[in-house]
Amino acid sequence: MIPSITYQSQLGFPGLSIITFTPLLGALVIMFINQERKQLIQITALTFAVISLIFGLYIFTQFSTAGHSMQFVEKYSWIPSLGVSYHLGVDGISILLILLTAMLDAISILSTWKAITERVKEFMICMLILETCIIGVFVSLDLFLFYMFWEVMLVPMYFIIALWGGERRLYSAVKFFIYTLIGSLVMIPGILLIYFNYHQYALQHNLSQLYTFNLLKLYTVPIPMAKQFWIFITLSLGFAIKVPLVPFHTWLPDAHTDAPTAGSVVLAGVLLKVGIYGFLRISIPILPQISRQAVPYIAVVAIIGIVYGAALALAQTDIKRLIAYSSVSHMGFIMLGLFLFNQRGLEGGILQMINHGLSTSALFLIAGLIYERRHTRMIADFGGLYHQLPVFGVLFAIVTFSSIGLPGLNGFVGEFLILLGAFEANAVYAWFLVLGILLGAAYTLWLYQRIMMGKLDNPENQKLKDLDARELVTLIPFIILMFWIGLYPTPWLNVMRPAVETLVVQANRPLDLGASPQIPLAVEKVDTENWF
Amino acid sequence: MLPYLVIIPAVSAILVAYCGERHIGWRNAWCLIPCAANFIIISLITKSVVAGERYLVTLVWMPPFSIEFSSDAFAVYMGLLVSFLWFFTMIYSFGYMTVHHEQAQTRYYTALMLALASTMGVIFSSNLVTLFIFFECLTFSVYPLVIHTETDEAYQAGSKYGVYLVSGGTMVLLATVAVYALTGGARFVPGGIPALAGQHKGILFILFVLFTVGFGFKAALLGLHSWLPDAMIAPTPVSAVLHAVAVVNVGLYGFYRVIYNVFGIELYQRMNFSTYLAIAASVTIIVSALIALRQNEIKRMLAFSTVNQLSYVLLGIVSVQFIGMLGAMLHIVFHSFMKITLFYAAGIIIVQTGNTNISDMGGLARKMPITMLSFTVAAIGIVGLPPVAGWISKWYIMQGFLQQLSIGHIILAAVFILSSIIELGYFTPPIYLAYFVDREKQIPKAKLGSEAPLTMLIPMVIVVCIALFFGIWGSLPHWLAKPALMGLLGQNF
Repeated sequence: MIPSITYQSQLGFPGLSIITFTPLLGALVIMFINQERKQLIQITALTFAVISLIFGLYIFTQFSTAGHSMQFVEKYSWIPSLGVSYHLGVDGISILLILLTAMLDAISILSTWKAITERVKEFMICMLILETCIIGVFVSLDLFLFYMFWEVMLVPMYFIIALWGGERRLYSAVKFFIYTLIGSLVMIPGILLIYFNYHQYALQHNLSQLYTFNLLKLYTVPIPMAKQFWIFITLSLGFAIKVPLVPFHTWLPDAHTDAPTAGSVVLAGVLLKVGIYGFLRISIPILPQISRQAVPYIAVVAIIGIVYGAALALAQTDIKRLIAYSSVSHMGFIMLGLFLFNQRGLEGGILQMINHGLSTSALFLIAGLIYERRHTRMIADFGGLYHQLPVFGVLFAIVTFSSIGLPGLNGFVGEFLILLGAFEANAVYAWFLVLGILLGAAYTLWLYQRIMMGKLDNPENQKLKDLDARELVTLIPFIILMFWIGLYPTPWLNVMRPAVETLVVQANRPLDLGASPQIPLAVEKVDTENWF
Repeated sequence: MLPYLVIIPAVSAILVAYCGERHIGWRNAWCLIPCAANFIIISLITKSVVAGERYLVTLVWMPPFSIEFSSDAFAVYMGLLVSFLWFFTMIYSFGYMTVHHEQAQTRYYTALMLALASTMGVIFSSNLVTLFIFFECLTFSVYPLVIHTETDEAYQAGSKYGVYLVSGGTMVLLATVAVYALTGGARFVPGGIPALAGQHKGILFILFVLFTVGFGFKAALLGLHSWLPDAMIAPTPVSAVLHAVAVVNVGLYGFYRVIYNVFGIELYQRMNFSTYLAIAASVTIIVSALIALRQNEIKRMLAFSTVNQLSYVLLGIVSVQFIGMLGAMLHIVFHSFMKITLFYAAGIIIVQTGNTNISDMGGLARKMPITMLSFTVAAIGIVGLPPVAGWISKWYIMQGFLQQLSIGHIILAAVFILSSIIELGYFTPPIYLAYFVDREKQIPKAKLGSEAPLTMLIPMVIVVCIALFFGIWGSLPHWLAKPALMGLLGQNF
């Protein structure tokens, strides 16, 4: 069992709850503001998002990279008869994702200043509730709580697409809702199987607690292979739809195309990571043996996703659709990295989750900036914008380079680690990964070329204005982080390293059905030999 | 000191972009300062490096991987060459860009400075990851130079350049990661990484293919070369940088590091890789020389000549004789000096007359005596005739073959001679036309041309004089080339 450190000894106040529920509080406050006072609503929403981010940063500074424990843990009994508790805690993986969520939400709220002019109040409420749900998923250590946040997350996202979206918004919103709802419903039997398996185990070993949803406890319980199979199938389906893995990806391009910019930013930046986080937090540690057996299948699906997503991205004429398909490809990349089950692959995969969150969100922001100016997303309508928008062009170029993994920027670090992990596990994967990198460079650079370079021959493009201060503020944090992670990734890797080491041990442990309870899972220091 | 070789040009790239068109004087100064500074820094450490000292700087990137710079004699050798020629190319650029009224000059100079930074990073890299990082940066920083004119043709050339070199870079990345995974490290070791020798033959062969193709794109092996002639659409100083200073030399540099410091020349020979490379290089030499014969556009002809000459260097390496490898080492430098002269001259002709074709060069020597004289001297050097530098290196490489009298080596020697004859064939027409045809009869008056401004002439004359000087006093570069080669080979050769 992973040891945990309570919040009292680290902070003295329940930090995770504050980060999680500050946005919800903001939503409540906004409900009492007159909907005509749009500016006040916007500022209030931004304030609460920023408060959440500041608390996130403060907690990040207090985060200890020394031990392999869950930190800032808060635990209160909630429904004792069912074994449900209000149990929050973070490790090195989730703290990074929380920070990413808080940052992206604040930035996307800022980015809607001019884009969203109708029903501002409802929009801001949706955005803030969405933030609470996503952070809630990342901090939950209780399966029940996790599932609750997971399920509620759909509702605000559905409204964001359906009410403030593009031409086919209702179609896309309903498609998104049906896909993800089916995914979540399928997960219920899997969760219950885990739950009752623990119950049986507890009866066998005369444990005092007969029911629990506590993830840390569930990690230690062995599950017979037949059960593991069915649990893995149901849970993976739910997570795979969210990631999305091919062939469950078709909701993503529609949702991205029709969502407003802020929706796309959050969707690409963190909502997709929620699915991967599910694999990391639930599937792999609870079902390590079946997960190991599933590696070839997951790898094939991931590779198909990498190539297929990239091929479709090459063929797109709509900027946002192109970025959406590129996400499908990148997600395959990340999944492959994680399912290598070695230190480098996992580190690379998790870092690449952050990187993808940064670069793709920035790309969607950029697509939004162009859309606000020209009210079209067709690539063919553009060309030569560099002459008119030089500052924008430079920032767009940096984001493009980050997305394709140019050395010196963040994408390269993640890709490099995943490649290295792939070589250690199975060199065949590496070939497909390289194909993915090449195709990724092709469609992303081609996108840039078609939009920014060439002649500025469309008269409508000749009147465009370059970025103003607010728009710069939304993009600069991405640029800084891209360079930071690219040039000096060590602190980021240090934060996630203990959690990854734990995960490696968990993923590679053998099945021991007769294991007696309460034996803590030994977390050995994974050998980090000197490479030189 | 070593990281400053990268940092100084990178910072001056920012300063160049900041100065822009408002402070042209400052902008030009910031272009020259890093070249001069790099040359001085490298000169200062040269003596101690030759004496055997090695500087190593490790910048933490993400442990256990790090960005490492080190200065062995080979790095110093290449670094001196690049920073010296870069300095003169910048001066030449000032003249060229002004006279030719080129657009977007700030972008041009910024990209050139970034390219200088990346090239220095490649040259002083101490492991494969560092090499790859700056290798890829170089690819991207040269792209704005290739598309400089922003015509449709330029964009096409740019796309081709991008596709070719990014593919090459990705292969190098794959090979780099493979070397890490196999041996647990990829620092360059004199004589080769020992752990690699025990690997399975198939894996080694795949590594060889990946590295050869990856660096082959930049060094323009046949079949992988076609971006290079197309990239001639760029302004002429850029062509000079591509051909004589940065890009192709970086490709060769990659070959050197992989052959000597990753595989090790012994393993390379034992696995027959040297034979494969020799075949590829021989075919490249003959075919590219024949293609060059057919070109009428002067820059394209020079481009194919480069493709041809680079393979001489590879042949010298695979002769696996000390004298042949020394010849290869010298040929990098001699070829750079001669080829850059040819491009400077071609640029002057293009700027002053508007002609880009050889057939329009008739009688040019009367109007531009200095330019044509330099052109002729450099061409003689490329062909390999004394007293210009090229003959020394070719002589050495030839000796490398003839010291081992097997059929294969005699064929290689024959390739060498045949190629030199073809070279004579393609350099004769421009020189003949320039000296023995009456220009006034052929060309309309407006395009007659006259000698270029001094900013373009002086760099050309200095560079060609040095090429001539090397040809006469051939032992001069030896004092650095020999330790460079010994440092690469390690003790046990």
